[in-house]
Amino acid sequence: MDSTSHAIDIKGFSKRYNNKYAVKDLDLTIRRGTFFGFVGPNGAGKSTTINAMVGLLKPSGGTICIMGHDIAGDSLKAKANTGFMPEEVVLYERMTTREYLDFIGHMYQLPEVKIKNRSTELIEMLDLDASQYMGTFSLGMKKKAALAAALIHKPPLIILDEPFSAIDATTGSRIRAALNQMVAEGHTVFFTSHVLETVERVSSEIGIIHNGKLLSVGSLEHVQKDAGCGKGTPLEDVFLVLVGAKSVEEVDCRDSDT
Amino acid sequence: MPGLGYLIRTKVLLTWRMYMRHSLASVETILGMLVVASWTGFVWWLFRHAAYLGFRNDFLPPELLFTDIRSVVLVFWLVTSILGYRLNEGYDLNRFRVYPLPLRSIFWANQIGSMLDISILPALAACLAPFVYAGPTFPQFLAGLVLILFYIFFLVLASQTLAILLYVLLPRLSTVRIGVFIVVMVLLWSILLALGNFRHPESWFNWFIFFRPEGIEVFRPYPNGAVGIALGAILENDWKSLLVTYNDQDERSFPLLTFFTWSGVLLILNYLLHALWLDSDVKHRVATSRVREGEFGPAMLKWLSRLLVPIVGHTAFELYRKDMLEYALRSPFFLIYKIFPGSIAPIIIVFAMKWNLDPESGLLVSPVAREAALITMIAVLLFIVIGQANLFAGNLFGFEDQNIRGLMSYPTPRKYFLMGKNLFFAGLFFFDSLIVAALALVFFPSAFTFFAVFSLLLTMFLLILAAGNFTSSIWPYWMPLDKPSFTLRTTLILSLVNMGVVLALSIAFVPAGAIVVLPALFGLHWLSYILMPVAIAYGVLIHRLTMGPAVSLFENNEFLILRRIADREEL
Repeated sequence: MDSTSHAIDIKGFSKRYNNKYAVKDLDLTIRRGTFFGFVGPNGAGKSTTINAMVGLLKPSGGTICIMGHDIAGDSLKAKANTGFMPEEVVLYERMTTREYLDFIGHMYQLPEVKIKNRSTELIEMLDLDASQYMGTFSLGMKKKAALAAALIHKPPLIILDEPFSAIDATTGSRIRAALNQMVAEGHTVFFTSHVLETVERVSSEIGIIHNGKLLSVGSLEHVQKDAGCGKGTPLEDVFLVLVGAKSVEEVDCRDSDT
Repeated sequence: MPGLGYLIRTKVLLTWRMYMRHSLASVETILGMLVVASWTGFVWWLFRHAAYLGFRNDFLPPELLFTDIRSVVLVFWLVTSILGYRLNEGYDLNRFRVYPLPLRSIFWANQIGSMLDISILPALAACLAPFVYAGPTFPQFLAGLVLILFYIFFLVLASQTLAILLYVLLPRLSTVRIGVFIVVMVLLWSILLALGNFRHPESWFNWFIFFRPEGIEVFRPYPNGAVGIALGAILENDWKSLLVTYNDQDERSFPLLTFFTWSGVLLILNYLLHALWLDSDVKHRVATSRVREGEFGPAMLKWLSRLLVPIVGHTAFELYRKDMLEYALRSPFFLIYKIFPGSIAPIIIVFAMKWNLDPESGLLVSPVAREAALITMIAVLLFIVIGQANLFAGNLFGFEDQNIRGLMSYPTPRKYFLMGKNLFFAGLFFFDSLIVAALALVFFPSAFTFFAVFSLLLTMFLLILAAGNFTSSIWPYWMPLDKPSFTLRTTLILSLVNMGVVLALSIAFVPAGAIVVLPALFGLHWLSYILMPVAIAYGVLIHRLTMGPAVSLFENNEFLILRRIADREEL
């Protein structure tokens, strides 16, 4: 199996569109079992990084290894170790959740029995309606169905683009609980979000990206320190300082130790 | 009518903006039409001359050339109408329902505005061409022009009535009901033919053959025929005959009255259907929210899985199953609205055209020569079908614009993507072939006709699937005539590539066509029967041989495919 202790190992990743870099020389290593929150302003390069990590975008430079497999050279193995939920959830409107999970399970080439058991488990865990057409789902239900699809094969790495946006508190809580359970079982979760309160609450590590460059990465304390803020400073303030939207004085978070 | 002028302007504006926004969609469409029409014309010409030379041992008389030109014009008009209709989707009537506007205003704006669609202009030119060729005086030209404009309005009404019928009926229909509907329609069609409504003793010098003024055994009240008779009366300065006319059997008919009565009935029907549809459209888009117990589709697929999984494997079958559930079995609206016009309708239209093509086959008196006429028909048909079918076979995974990104993030071996797509289309093509073979029986009632058409079409579709795998891997959504392309350069390149692929397919098809048809031409039908499975096996072989290289190409081009799709979405 995969012997590396790193779930994600990105070295010098760059993506250029028409001579403009969306992401430039990004280095990022995430250990297994981490609940990693990836934040940044709109257009910072979060989705570009994620799309490259799941093999939907060809890097202009650098390498991305998922569970020790290079996404460019060994993409099918890298993808087999990943569960991905995109920001814009697009489901098959005329399929039921059960049929959809059955289909996705086969895409990961799981055995029939495993697909059946895992589908039942996920449907119960996320409180999904198994026989309703997904086209008639609410946005929250769609997100949960997409999450179930990403989790069907119990992937070592789960990549989620904005899983908590536009959903109600109950759904958000259920998704958080499901992800926490996965992390407790040793899986790695990499997610992006604009809801910094949630990122602060659930993440064991945080990465902040701005203008295609990684500004800070590590535990909340580490990120606070990078920003020159003291312990207890909310992530939102830390974020504003790091991206240059406000100064340390403006948010009044100066670290008394420095 | 409140708001009518504004609504007509909006309709026209939206239609033209759609063309302008996808600025090369119209260029590509016209180019595509020219490609299809010219290829059809060329093949038609080739087979006609070869048949005449082969069976009469003489060259085709020059006067018969006009019938060829006319056939090409007709094909051009038909293709234009189909594509134009598919292109013009920019005016959603339901959007206007939120405003305090009466239905009649929205309805009339749609009908009148449709007359200014780009697809109408070539149709107008095609209708006017033979009329102008006859050299009318100015009053004759003016009267003819008005009549032709009314005729085109009638065609618009007819096409919109058909479309609205599909909108209204299909969301309420199950797959089984649609099957029954098709069977009933085929039977009805056969009965009409058996009754002699559509016999055609007309000769080659009839200028208005596609209006069929004399193309009906007796003067039946038929709108196209009525317009043809009226145009003939105008050209002959026989103005009284516009109102009442008599044929050789001294049977009376009323050309203008007949035509305008038909138009009126169609107009009222169209209006009533619009009223019905607009009120019920939204709630029937997704017919039910929950899967029914013992639903036919999944049950059928379960049965099919026993047959296909051992051959293609679980993964490919699941991709096929997903396409069937999402795009076919549970969405008859989608299936027939999106697939029927592109896949089966052109074939049916070509068979319908046989009314107009029969003078040619009628000249070939020997039974063997009639076989040649059949071959000619098939040849024309093949090219029409290729032109249309490649829209689907060449497309990446059927209809998935957005879900394709999701699919690409799975670790599924890529050959299954192609196999799943091929399975989906193979099913459709199988039924296409059956329908066309059954339709061919109506005109040439022999077992040979049925099996020859069926086996040749199936072989051709297998070749199209093979070609589609390559085009999907290079340029997804390649050569969809109704979809926008990116630049003038790419449009031209795509059109040329399309011609090249059609040529390659034609060459690849020749051996299959030859082994099925040639023995029959020499009276050795038994040999043709034996060789029919060989033709299909040849198609399977080509498909299998090309699968490996197509998969490699697909794997190497994965990022390119994703980029092409992203480009397409941004347009």
